[in-house]
Amino acid sequence: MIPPDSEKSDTAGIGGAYTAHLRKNLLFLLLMLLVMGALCVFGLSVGGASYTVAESWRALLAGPAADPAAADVRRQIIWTLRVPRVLSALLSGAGLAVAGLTMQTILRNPLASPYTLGISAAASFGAGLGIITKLNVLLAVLPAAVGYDLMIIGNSFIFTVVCTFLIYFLSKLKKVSAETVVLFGVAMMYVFEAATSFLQYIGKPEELAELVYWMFGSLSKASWHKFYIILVCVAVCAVLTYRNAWNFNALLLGDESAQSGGVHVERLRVTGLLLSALTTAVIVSLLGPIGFIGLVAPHVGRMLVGGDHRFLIPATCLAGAILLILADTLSCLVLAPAVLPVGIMTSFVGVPLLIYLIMKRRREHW
Amino acid sequence: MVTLQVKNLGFSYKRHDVFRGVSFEVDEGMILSLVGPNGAGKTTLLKCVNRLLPPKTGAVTVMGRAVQTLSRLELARSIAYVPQASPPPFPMTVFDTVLLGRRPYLNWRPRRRDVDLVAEIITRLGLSDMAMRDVNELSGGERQKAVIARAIAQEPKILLLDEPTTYLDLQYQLRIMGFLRELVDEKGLCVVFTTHDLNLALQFSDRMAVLKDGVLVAEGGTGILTEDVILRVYGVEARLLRSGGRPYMAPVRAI
Repeated sequence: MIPPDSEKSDTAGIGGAYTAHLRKNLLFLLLMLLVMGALCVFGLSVGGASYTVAESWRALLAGPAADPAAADVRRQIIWTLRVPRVLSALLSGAGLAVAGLTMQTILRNPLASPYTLGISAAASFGAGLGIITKLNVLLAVLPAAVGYDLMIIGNSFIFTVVCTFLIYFLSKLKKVSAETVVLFGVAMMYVFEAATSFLQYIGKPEELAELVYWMFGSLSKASWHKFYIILVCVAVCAVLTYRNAWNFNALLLGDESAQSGGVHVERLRVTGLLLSALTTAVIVSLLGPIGFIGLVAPHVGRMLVGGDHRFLIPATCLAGAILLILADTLSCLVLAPAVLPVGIMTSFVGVPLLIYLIMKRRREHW
Repeated sequence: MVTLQVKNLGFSYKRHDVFRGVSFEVDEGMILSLVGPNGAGKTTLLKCVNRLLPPKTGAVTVMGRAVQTLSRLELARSIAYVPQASPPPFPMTVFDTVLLGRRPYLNWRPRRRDVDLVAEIITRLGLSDMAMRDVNELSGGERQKAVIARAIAQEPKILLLDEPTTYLDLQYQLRIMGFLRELVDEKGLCVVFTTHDLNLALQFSDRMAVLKDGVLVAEGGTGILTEDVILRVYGVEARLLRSGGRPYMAPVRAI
């Protein structure tokens, strides 16, 4: 069949519009990358001792000192404290954001995030169990001696997975709507918070202090050691998530459409939830709960590049990284020279942004 | 040529039989409408044909091959399914929606041919002005077109549609069905759709299958839909009228 001329030009026009749309998305990603880079450099210059951006840039270029005693203080501070801190912010922001995006897509719910689904609360409880009762849940799985830090991470992770799967199986039950899943997540949050309160009640003062400190998510806990763990985890999760970009797109039209389009929906759900839970668990157990990034960053991403996960996943990662670096920089500046835990700041940055996004939407999705 | 063959198909949720002993065949270039009252098992039957649900008994054969033996991708390239309307929870452009139909053929990057095909389908369905708009901003009829376009982009041999015209106004009902008719005649596709609109079924299908309480009451050409069948299946007294050589169903009253 030969289409009439008008149809032919329409067809070419649509193809052109699509190509233009792809170019615009790439441009947005590039811009976000630049913003992120600039914020990173700026973030290096703030902290207990303030340097100018130029000074920190020079210290950064000088590289890590081979002999810490011989190096000047600035170089030492930049390389042992601030570089891992900023890089951790970057990766954790990206990780929490991609975890939130995965949850929103998989549960088809714009309110899903590691925080609103109670996953952060579950991680806190796991950590609390480790700090206060010294109960090592990891031992049941891995009967080998593990260090104190690893035990807390392990506990957090296990409770995160428990929480994730409880929510998942509930969402699979018949006639459970998307709103119910979020309500269930809120319920989980309260349960785990209550359990954590109980732990606090029975804890000794010094354990309490440790737990309370733990529960202020903070990038001051960052170190090169933790950075590498986060790097491996976030990189693996982001790559595996990205490989599913088309499947996530398909899922937006509903399970049945996706499945008839060749997507293994069940497997996608389980792997997606596991990956996002793993990322959240690792970040939250190493740095403490950091809220709102996982909720807000995907919405920022969607506003910039739309619903195609091939662009949405990187855009969300970048948005999360930018938000967390920004929040961290602000937390260093607000009460300088004191540094606020970033977990407090993300809510201050994230909530107004979320409200703005809700108000700006032309159509309500929730 | 027989494209779709359903033989003695049965399905049950726990102990409750949804349907049983259902057999029918659809040739290439044919539209079969599946009608019957609410809860008759029409949707479940479509899902079993598409392997979304595992049948308890019987077999489904596509172009001579049992669906169980097909891989996910082979199945996706043979059968496309349009479920009852449910808008996506997040913004998504019409183009991206239709492009999803190409997923069973894609490695990662859509090729030129994929983009061209998607653009052509969008144009033919009259959606070219809204190709880059969010499907959530469209009217129900336009959105339904986009969803059907997605299934067509999948280039299946068999297209299954679950109540494709529900919630649509008269204009869109006729347009969508007319478009499907064109497509079937042109590409030799085989279409199975469920509907509550008996007149639409009479007008656009080559064959009809009437399901009641999980049993196929009648199956064959549109002539099988008699006043007696309507009374038995729907409990409705109706008159079949003829005009311009076509039958029309006029409901009189519920019994």
